[in-house]
Amino acid sequence: MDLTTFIDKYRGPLIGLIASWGVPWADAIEIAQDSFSTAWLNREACRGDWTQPDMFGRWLRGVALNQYRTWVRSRRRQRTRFVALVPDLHEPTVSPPTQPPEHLEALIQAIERLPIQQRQVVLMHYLEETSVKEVAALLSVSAKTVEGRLFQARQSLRRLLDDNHPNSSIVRTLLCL
Amino acid sequence: MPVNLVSEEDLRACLRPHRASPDAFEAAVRERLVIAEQLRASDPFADLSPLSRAAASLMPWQFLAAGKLNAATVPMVPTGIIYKVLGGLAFPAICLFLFAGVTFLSLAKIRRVQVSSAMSGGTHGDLKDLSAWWSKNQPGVWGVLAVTLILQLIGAASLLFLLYLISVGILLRVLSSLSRLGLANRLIVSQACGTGLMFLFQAALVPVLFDHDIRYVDQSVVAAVFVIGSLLILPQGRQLLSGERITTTPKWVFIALLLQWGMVLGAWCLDPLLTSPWALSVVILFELIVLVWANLGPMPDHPAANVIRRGIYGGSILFVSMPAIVLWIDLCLIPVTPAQIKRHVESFDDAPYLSASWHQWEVAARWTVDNGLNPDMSRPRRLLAGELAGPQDPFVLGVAFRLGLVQAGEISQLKNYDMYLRPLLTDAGEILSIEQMDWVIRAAALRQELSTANKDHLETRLNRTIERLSPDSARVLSSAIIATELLDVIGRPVDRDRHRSRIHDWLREFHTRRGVAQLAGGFATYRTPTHALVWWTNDAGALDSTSQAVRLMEIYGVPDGLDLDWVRSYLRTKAFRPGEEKWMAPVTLNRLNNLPGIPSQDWFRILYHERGVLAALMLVAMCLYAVYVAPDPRNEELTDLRNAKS
Repeated sequence: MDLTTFIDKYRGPLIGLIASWGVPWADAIEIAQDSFSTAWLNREACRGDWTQPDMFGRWLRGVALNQYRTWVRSRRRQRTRFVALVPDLHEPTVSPPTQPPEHLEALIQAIERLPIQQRQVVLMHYLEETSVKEVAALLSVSAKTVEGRLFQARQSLRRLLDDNHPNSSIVRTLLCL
Repeated sequence: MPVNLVSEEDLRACLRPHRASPDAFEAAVRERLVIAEQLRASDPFADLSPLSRAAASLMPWQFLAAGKLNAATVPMVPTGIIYKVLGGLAFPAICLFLFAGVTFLSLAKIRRVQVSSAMSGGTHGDLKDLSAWWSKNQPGVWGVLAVTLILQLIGAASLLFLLYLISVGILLRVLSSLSRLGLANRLIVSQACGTGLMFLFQAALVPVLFDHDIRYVDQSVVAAVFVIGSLLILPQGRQLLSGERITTTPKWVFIALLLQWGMVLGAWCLDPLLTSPWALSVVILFELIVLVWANLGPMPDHPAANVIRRGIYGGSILFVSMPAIVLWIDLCLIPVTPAQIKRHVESFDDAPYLSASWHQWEVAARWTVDNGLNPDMSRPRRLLAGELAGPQDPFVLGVAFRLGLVQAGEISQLKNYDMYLRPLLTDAGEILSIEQMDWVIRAAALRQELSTANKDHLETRLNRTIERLSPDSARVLSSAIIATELLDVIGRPVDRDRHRSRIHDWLREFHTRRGVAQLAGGFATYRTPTHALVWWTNDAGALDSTSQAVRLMEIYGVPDGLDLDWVRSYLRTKAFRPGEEKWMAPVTLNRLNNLPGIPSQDWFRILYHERGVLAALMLVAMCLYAVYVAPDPRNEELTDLRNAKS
C-alpha cells in the first residue's frame, strides 16, 4: 500500500472526522494534511502492521487527534495574545463558493446539532461518499455500528428539521392526502 | 410504519462544497513530507519537545540510534533553564538504565566484531562515540551510582525510588519520542530497562544501615520485584518476529536457571523451614563447576576468545544465580504455621547456649501452651533430666517450672531448694535477683508449702520488687513480668492499677525507634546511656525483651503514645532470623495482634509505609510499559542482527 492509496481511502472520512470535532472546514483540511504526513513519516512507530488499511486507519486517527489537540492549544494561545488586534484568526478562510439553498442551509445547521457520534458518521460518510467500511476502520468500530449510527442520524435530522418547521409535516401529510 | 428519514442526496449536496480537491490535497501532503524529511536530516530531534531535547542531550543517543546518527549531525539547541533542570532529572535513569545497556550492547558488539574479525568503520565509529559519551559523563554516572547505593545504605529507599520514578518517567517520555523518530526500538529499550532493573536489584540487596521507618514486609521483596521485572523484560528483546531468538545467549543459561530454581523449590518442598543449607550448597557447587568448565573447556582459535568467554559466562552465572538466591530468600518470608511452631517446640533436645537457649525456646513454647496446642514435651523433659542431674542452673529451672516441665515429685532432686526458700520467707524488702528465685517460689507453690502468712509476706515482697525496680537496673522488663506472674502463682493476683503507670513508663522508655544496622521498633534490654559516645550500640531492641514487653501489655494494657506499628515492624517476617529468633518473632507478633482493645491495622498506613515496594512495582510496570510501547526494530535492523548472529 502506498501513500496515494491511503490518501484516497481516508481523505474524506478524516476531514469529516476532524470537522466533527468542531474545527472549521479549512482548518480541518490542513489538520488532515498534517496528519497524513506525520502518520506516514512515523509509520514505523505504529504498533502493528501499518500496511494493513485497518491498522493504518487507527494509527491515522490517533495522529489526527494529537494534531487536533495541538491546533486547539495554538488557537487558544493566539486568541489570548492577539485578541485585541485580530478578532478571530481561524474563521474559515475558504468559504463555500455559492450560498446553498435554504433547505440545505437548514440541514447543515441540523447536522451541527446532532450528537457527536451521529455527526461524525454523517460527515465522514457523506462528505466524499466514502464506504461504511472505511469509516468503520477509522473509528475502530464495526460496519454495522456505523450503519446503525447513520440511520439514527438521518432520523434525528428529520426530527430536527421538522421541529424547525413544524408546519412542514402538516403540509406533507396534506399533500399525501 | 414507514420511517421518515432525511434523503441521502440532500446530505451529499449540503456537504459537497466542503470537499477537498484530491490532487491538491495529495500535493500538500507530499510537500509537507519533503519539508519534514529535510528538517529531520538537518536536525533529527527537531520534532522533540524542549523537555525531550534537554534530556536527549544527556543521552548516549549514538547507541539509541544504532549507528544512524553521529555526533556531528545532531545539533543540540539550547533550551530554557526549566527544561534543562527537568531534563537533568532524567540523568539518574539515563545512567542506570541506558549506561548499563550501552555497556552490555557494546560488549556484545565487540564480541561479534572480534569473532568475525571484520571490524567495520561504522561499528568502530559507534564505539568511539560511546567512549566519548562515557568520558564526558563519567563523573556524573559514578555519582549517580554512588548516591543510589548510599541512599539504600542509609535506609532512604523510598526517596531513592521516588527519584527514580520521576527520572524514569521523563526518560520514558523521551524514549517514546525517540521511538516515534525511529531512533529507539523494543530491543534497545528492553535491554536498557532490563539491565537497569538488574542494577536496582543489586542495590536493593545492599544491607540497610540506618532503618528509621516502619515496615510490614521484609524489604528483600523489593529485590525480588526488580529481579522478576528484569526477567520479564530481558527476554522481550529476544522474542522479536515469530519468537525467533536473535541474540547469542547460550541455551544452557536458561536450562541452568530452570535447574537451580527446581533445586531451590525442591529443597523448600522437602523442608519448608529451610533449616538445612544443603540446597544452597548444591546451587553454589553447581555454579563453581560451570565456572571451572567455562575456563578450562575447549576454546575457539581466537586471541580474545578466552577473555570474552569468561566475561560472558561470569555474567551468565550472575544472571542465573541471583534469581535463585532471591527466590530462596522470599520463600523464607512465607509465615510459619502453628503446626510448624509446635513441631519446633517438641524438637527441643539440645541447649547449646545453656540458659540462653532455654530462654529463647521458652517464648515459642509458652505460646503453644497458652494457645492450647498441647505440645509433646518428652524431649525437653529428657533434656531437663540431664540438667537436674547436673548443674541445676537457676535460670533453666525457672523456664522448666514456668512451662510445667517439673513435677512435684522431682522437686526433691533440687539441691538448693531449702537453702533458697528460707530467706525468701524471712527477709524483708524487695527480692533481689528475682529471675534466679523464680523457680524456688514456683516449687514451693507446687508443693503447697506456702502458708497464708508466707503468701502475704511474699506478696508484699513481690509488690515491693516491682515498685523498687529502677530503669537503670538490669533486665527491668523481665523482672517486672516475673514478679507479676509470681503474684498469680501464689494466688494473690496483681493489683494492675497499682503498677500500671510505672510499667507503662518503662515500656515507653525501653521502646526503640532507631537502630544502626539493626531493626528498629523493638524493646531494649538495657536503658540507653544518653551521654555515651557509643549510644547506638545499645539502642536496638531485643526479641526476648520485646516478648516480655508484649506480655506486660497483655496484663497492664498498651501505654498511651506507644505506636504498636513500630513493634509490628520489628516483629515482621524476615528472610534471615538466626536460630530461635525465627520462632520468637512470629509468636510475639501473634500475641501483639491479639492484645485486647487494640485498633485494627490501617491499610492506608500500611500502603504508605510500604511505598518502597509500591515504587518498585511502579518502576517495573513503567519499564514493562516502555518495552510494550516501543516499536519493533525495522526489518533491516533485524536482518543485520541475524547476519551478525550467523
